Amino acid sequence: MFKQYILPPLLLVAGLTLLSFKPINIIPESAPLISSREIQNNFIQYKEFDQRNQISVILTNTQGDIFNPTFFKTLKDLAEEIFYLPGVDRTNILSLFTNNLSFREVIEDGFAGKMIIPENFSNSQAEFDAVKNNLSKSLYVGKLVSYDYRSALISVPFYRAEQGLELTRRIEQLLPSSGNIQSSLLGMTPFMIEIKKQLSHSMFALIFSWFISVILFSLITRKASSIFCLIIAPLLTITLQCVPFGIFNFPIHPYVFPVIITTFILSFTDIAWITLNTTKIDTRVPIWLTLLPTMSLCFLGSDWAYQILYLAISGTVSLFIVRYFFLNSIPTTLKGFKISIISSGFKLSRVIRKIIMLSLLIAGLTLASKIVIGNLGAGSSMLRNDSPYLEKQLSMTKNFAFALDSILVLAISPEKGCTDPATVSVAEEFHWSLSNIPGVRTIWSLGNTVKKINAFYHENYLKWITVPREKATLIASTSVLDSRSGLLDQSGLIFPITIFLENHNPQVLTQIYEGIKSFESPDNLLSFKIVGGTAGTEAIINEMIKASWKIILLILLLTFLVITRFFFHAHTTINLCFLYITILSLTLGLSVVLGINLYIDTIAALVLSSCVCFYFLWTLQNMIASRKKLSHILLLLCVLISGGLFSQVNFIFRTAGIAECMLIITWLVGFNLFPVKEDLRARHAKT
Amino acid sequence: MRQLSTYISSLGVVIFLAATFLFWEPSFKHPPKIDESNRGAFFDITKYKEIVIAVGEHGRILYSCDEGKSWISAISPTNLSLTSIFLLNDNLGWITGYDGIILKTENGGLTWTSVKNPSTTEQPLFAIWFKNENVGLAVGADSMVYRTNDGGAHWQSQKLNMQAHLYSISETADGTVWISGENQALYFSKDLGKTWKKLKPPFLTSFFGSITLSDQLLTFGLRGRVCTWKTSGLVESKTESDESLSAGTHLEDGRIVLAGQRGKILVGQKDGKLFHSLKTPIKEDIASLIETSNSLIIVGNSGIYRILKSELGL
Repeated sequence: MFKQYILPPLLLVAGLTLLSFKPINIIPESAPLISSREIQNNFIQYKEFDQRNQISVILTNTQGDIFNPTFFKTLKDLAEEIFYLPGVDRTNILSLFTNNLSFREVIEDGFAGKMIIPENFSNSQAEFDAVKNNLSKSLYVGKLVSYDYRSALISVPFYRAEQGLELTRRIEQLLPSSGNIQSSLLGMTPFMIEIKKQLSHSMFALIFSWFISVILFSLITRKASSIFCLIIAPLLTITLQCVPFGIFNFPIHPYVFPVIITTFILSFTDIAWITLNTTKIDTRVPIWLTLLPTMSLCFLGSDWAYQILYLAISGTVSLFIVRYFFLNSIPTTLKGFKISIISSGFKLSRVIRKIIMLSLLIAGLTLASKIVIGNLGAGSSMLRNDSPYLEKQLSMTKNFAFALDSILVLAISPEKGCTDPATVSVAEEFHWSLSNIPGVRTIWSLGNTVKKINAFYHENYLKWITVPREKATLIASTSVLDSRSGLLDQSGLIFPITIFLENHNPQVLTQIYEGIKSFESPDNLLSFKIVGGTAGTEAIINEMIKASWKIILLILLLTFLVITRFFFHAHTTINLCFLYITILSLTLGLSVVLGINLYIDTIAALVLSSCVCFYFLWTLQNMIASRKKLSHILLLLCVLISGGLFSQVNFIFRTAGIAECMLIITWLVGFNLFPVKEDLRARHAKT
Repeated sequence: MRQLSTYISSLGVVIFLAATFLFWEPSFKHPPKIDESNRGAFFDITKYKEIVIAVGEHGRILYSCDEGKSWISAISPTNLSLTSIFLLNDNLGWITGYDGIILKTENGGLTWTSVKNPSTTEQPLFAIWFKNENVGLAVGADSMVYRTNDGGAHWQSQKLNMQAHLYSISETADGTVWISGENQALYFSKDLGKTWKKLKPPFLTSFFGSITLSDQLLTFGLRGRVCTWKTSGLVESKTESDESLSAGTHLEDGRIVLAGQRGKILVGQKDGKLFHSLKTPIKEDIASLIETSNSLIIVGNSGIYRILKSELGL
């Protein structure tokens, strides 16, 4: 009744809700990862300092500098067209052609201010030379034009975050598409569009590997119904899992997307095992194995963890519904495959097996001890170093005073603010201490800028580069800065400090994080808080992982121990635990060898793929015990093809890599050295 | 009994797991030692024989024994910005800085100690010069000149009769000591700084530095103005560049190199004439420079640069 009349319409409705489903709608404020713990509070409290609602357009002349009529015309036309796009904050858009863009210089009897591009500019070479000279005296080199004068930037702020995607698409349509002028967009929104592109590539790889797997299975089973199940079941699982996202219009963070993929694989393999095996699998196993270890992720204490937990639960429930729906349709006719290594006569004595196991365990632990926490990729946590997108972005920004990776820190003064020399001196000390950390490219801060302004007021004599000691001089120095400079707020009590990094190498992030945390402000004149930036978020995440990854893995292992004890004899449990530790440590060790680091997505993959692995193992043991041989090599081949294809795609490289490590090791170690089959046979015979 | 042993074994596994993971520390490579020469602003550099020393922000004193190819941090007793350095011989040297601080070395610059602060205010000192191990001068903000007769143990202060910050001290071949600074401040003394006479430049300018040409003084400063002076007055004045010049040195062959804002480097004849601009990779402001056997070592607001003379066409 339920299966025939209620479930199909429900599934149809579920599918329809996905029409409004947004796979990724990443605005940091709404991203569960960001809205967690320390960074959440800081992020919300100091929202106005965030630079998310901004797109930077960089134009680069590949054949020379920017001072030629063609480049200037292209830049000017583009700036004007962007100016009139809906949603653009016209009062704060900035380019070389912004009205009244000027500079000041010291002359014999005081100061003089001039326009960088003079009025009635007529494209003569002399005027281009003058503009170049003016620029070199201004503060815009490195910010609006590159240090090598080959690139120019248009800074495009916009009012509302949700306008970002549409605005980015419109700007992309305006960019010059040919000639010597190369263009690039920087900012959170263009980055997310790139992630979406990568995601679509990943989906293509997944579908392709799925297609190959289905073909392989069709060769074995030669039953249309089983092929139908293999096609439909994973789709339905994912559909059911994602229904609430469609209904409530929730965004899904890219970090949890690997969990959906894992559910997909779990669903696929579940159906595949049922197809190949007449023995019905104990349905409690996938529930327990999926639910309990995933709950350990709650120790991260973030919304992100809850979202993964939800996905794991919903994935399991979906699996149940799908299995319930398809079970009678699946042919369970395969018998008598004899491809297994175990059945091929490859046997080792118990002592040798144990020695090998112990050696593998030691090797795994030794290698795993070198694992690095954090993201090793430059530029983005989800894109590989050599991704064309990142390579282009890095090459476009290398001659600017900013970088792709940044940390936004707020220096907060309780009362005295920017008019107190001692307070500003502390901010400058902070700038100085961080600038000495390797990997820091540039820092934009009030403390450093005030020093330069002070020197400017002393005829640009370099030895006056210092924070003014007199209050009046300091006020004169800070008065030229307003809140639009991004160096202080309207109250003058908060100084945003932007730290730009060469990369977001974990060591650099750790050093900076510790540098910020350990900086002691004399008399508590200032307090420092990390409130954002791509690398700032990662620094916080790394610290969270460092604090919790051991506990997560420990709980995972304890859960494993409890579950195996529930199903097996005590001594089998011990054997299984050793096996599981070996698999885990070897997986981590292989991750070190492959350069896969421990990050939030890889922890998720580790936890969930360990469930999948054990699920395989458990089913295999059932089959061995019931003397039903199967082609686990063929099945593994399907999974490996999937994993191998994933690893070629940018988006989930490390996640797929670690899951694949887990599967390979499980197969090699578990299937061939696992010493419990006699025990299981006995247990099975007894039952 | 067997059940008990299996439970004990299980407990052992749990303990093993706990121990494995709780004592498991991911390795973190310590970052390489920072490139000492390339961080923060440096305001002055000097050499005596093979010793090269640079001073800068936050009390940094960098020491090199190989003509600036490698640097080590000398032991500095202060965190204040240091503005100038003078080495008298291979042992004795002095450094000035903010808050009127003066440091002294007696071991060629490896370690530095504070000497008695001549200033009672927080005003900075910008230049220091010693005739011998006892007699020396220091100048700084607000027209202040300090003189010592005992190697810096005690200082007598003197405020010149104008409102200007003083930036440099030089001694010409005839024994005349010159001090110069902003707002047309140019003074000379024939008695090692006991009394001072003012020269009145016939134009508005500021002198950011000076070097000697036999018995003449060559000053350079705001908006590239380069002047030569005798005690009788101005000899010649010319604007050599758009950029202000704040550093100068003699090359071994007698030619003069001046440098300043936005990496500007000029080279002129030994008589201080016919300057021309060099193409340089530096875009930052230059505070001081010296010549070594095959290179120029330049300090400024972005650290220390070492450029081969052949690259500059010298």
